Amino acid sequence: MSAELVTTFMATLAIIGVFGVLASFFVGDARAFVREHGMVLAAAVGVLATLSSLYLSEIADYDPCQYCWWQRIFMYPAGIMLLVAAVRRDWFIRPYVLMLAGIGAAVSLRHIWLQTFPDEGGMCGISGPCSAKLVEAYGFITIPQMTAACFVLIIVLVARCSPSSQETP
Amino acid sequence: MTEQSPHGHAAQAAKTNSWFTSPFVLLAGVILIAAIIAAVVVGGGSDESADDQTATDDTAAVASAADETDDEIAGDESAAVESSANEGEAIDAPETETSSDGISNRGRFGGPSIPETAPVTVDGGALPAFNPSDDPAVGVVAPVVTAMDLASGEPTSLEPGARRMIVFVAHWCPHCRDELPQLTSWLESGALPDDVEVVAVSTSVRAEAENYPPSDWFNAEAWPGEVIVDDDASTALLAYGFEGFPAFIALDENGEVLARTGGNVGVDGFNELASAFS
Repeated sequence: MSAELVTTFMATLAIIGVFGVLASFFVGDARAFVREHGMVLAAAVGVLATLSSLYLSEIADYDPCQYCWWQRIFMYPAGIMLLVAAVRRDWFIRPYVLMLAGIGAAVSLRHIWLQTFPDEGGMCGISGPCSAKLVEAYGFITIPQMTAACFVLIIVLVARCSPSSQETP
Repeated sequence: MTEQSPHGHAAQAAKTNSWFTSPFVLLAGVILIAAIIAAVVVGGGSDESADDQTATDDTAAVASAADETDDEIAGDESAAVESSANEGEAIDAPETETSSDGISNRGRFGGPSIPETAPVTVDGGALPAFNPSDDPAVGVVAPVVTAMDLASGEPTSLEPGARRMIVFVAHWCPHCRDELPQLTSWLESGALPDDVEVVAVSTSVRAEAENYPPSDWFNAEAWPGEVIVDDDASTALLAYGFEGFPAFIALDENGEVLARTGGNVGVDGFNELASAFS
């Protein structure tokens, strides 16, 4: 299994996820489905993003840059919390996950900005600069773009999740 | 009679109207579809896959080529030094053939038997860490680095005896990719004294990163100087006191450091570096 296959797979998932969530705004069935199962879907996004990130660094030997580490800091706990919450059907974690995903999305956007407009006069470090595009799935989808998509998916799915079985605090 | 909440209605609607009944079915389907698409996309790009295979072969060939290079370096280091000294001429005319997309592997750098990275030996202590404000390396004798020439595949040694401008670049680094064309144009304008040898060091090579292999990059940019390749640990880069790139160092004929600089210095920076030779 090559890193290219995995990153293409991740990019494909991100594209499908983004279109799926967009559909939830316009298609009644999708809206109802997200409302009922949004937390499970968000948990799947968080866990897949976490596993993919670990694959890239631990198996494919990509060196995470500083911004990658910041995104990991917000993605990993969000993924774990969402998984536990989805299993326990505990909907009260939403504010915590939204906070983590919101900050993570902001970091991702900054990372995308750096890759698009590298700092003038800058140098790249041996360990991998934040401005380098180590992956370009489909020729244009980079790692922070995928991460941003994951954070946005988590935010939308969790924010729109309102299952019938949830208990009020 | 029980009242049903709006959420209850939503759930009911989801159960009755959706073609899927479980999020796990949806997830499994999406993952399966994504996996199939990814396999088709990655497998479908046969040309790219072939290129990747070549790249992988190049990388894999590093080990064997490295052993041979080690033997050559250890066995006859002086021969390597002579070879380097004979290669002498400051800036050779580019013999690059570029295709319509500007990328070609038929230029003078690289080739099927030439790996993109190879072992490096360093004779002498590493220079102090680069400090742009007050560089402690100025006046210090640089270590002698021996590395593989990306054009010939033979080891070459950066021994004292010629004034040199050494440039460290990485193929995936956006700053380096921005800097190399500017530097090439500047060199072709004749801004550097004729007796100054220009050597690029291809460092931090990563087969999985963009703009790989670096030999294609140097060919596409019609790099006019020599290119030597660093090893996986960036030994040459570290020996000259750098931890990043693009990085530049000017050495006099005794191997003493005249100046160092780093980053996207542009033409002004090149001129400043060239002034160190005067």
